[in-house]
Amino acid sequence: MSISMKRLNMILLVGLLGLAPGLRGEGPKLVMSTQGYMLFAPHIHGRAKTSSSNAGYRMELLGLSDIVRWNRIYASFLTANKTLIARSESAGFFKLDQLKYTLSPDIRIEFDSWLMRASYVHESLHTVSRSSEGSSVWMNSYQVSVGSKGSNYLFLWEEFENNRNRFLNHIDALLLVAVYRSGRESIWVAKNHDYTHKIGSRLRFQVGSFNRWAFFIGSDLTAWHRETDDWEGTGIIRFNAFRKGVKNLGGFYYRYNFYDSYRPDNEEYLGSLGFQVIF
Amino acid sequence: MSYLDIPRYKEATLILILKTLLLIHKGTDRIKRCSCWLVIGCLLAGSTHSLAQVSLKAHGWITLESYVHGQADEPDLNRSHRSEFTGIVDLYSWKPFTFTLLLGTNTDVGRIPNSNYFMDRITYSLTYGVRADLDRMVIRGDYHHDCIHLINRPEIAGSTWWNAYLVRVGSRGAFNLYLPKEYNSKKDGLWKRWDGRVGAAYYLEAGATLRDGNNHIFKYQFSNLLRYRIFAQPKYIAFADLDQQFWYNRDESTEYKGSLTLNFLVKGESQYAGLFYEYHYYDTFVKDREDGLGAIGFRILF
Repeated sequence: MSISMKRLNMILLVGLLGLAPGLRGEGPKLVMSTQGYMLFAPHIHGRAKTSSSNAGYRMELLGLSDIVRWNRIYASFLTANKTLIARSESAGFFKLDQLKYTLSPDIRIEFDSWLMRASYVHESLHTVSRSSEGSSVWMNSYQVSVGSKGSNYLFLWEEFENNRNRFLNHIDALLLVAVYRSGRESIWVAKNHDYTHKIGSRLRFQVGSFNRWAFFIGSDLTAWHRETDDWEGTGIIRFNAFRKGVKNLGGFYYRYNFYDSYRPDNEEYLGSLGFQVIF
Repeated sequence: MSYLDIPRYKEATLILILKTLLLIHKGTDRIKRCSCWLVIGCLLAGSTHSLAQVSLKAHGWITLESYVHGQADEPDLNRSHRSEFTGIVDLYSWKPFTFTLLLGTNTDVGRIPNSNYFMDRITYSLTYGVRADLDRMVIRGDYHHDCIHLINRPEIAGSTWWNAYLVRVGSRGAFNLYLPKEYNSKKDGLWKRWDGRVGAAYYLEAGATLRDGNNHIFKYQFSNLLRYRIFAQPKYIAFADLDQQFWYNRDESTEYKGSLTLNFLVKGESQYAGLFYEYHYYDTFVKDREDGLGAIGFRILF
């Protein structure tokens, strides 16, 4: 195949944007709607076991921009930025340590009570303010996820707004499978990692909605398969209390990593208390 | 009636918030951390009893741009692309006043000739402030923190950061939050509108602590934006910006950054996105010099 993935992605994106102004009537419609979240979370207890971790704080910005909609199908673009901040006595309050960028063209199909997403995910991990040992990590993968609407942040506000002042007592779930590209050392294929597959799941127990507050508990399990046939994994549990705004949610969560062997961002046995706005 | 409904509760909450904000500025790191959580908690919880309204509305912009002509002066920065993600959360509203929190990142991407791209530098912005939305004007007062970090490179003199008190006043159309709504409020087409805003900032003197700053000598900044609407249709808007910033430093030197931008935005079902061309006609700002550089980019307003 002579055309590179990078060029193909750019052509697809530019094609979508070029067509977009003409999208009217019964066919595809231009949406230009952005949803996402912002969060800041200090680690409040626990100590990471591995030397690769950056115990301190995490900050994340994520935006999913829906560009075009055709019936139940959305063509979107995701941009995200996660900062791993280490607590440092010598450098003052904190020290920015690593950065993770994510860029991803994304197709989403929404059904009545569940949704499916397929995306090409470009991720990179970099050190901040110091020389990189072993250089930056670049990953590219094809991802597919299937889940109920309530398992996705896009529909959380709607879910709790439609169910006021009562216990919800139901479970939402999501399953994700990713295949990493491997081959020559390139930032558009793979660089400095040996992951081949990822399998992830999410279970979310919707507790209820009372007096403008929404409560839910989530658990995420993710496993990565490496070329050496080893596995790495993370297990997280999260308790959430969110205040409903006019159209968004904002609130607190407590998150605990009860198992973590994932090397690029290891938070094993760390508990964090975060503030998050979902827009 | 519960004790939470009596007016004294409102007064007490306001006093608590003000005292806590004072502690943030004067206290130790531990007090600051606790205070931040306390303020956020009070703001969210207090609204249940109608002290004011919790809005939690988020707006902002995502920008991806590519430099298409010109050459950066800095020898260690081969500018290629720039991306920006800025989110502003309206936390709390009381009459025309809205308390906001801004979180933003700005990444400079470099490129080694005939080789791959590399992430070169990131700038974080963290701002809390108050916005007053008047009939035709907007007034903003912010406490603004910026920090600049090199990626994959050591910082010999340490990171750069600054903190400033910032005030901006302008017409609604000069603020991104109101721009699309304002520009489509009338169905006149062409050449009929100017918008503008002015701003002034005072920088805390750099003393290598998180609260004041590091590696900068800025004292004051003055800025203005002049925006001219070229046309506005229900589905499209086009406008031109003249953006100027002027710094007065503690050693009495000055710096200047000026740019011209042409914007074309398309309206979707709810929000706007589109293309822009930006040219930096003159730039002596040492921390982010783009003198003579021109860029084409894609911007989403949300």
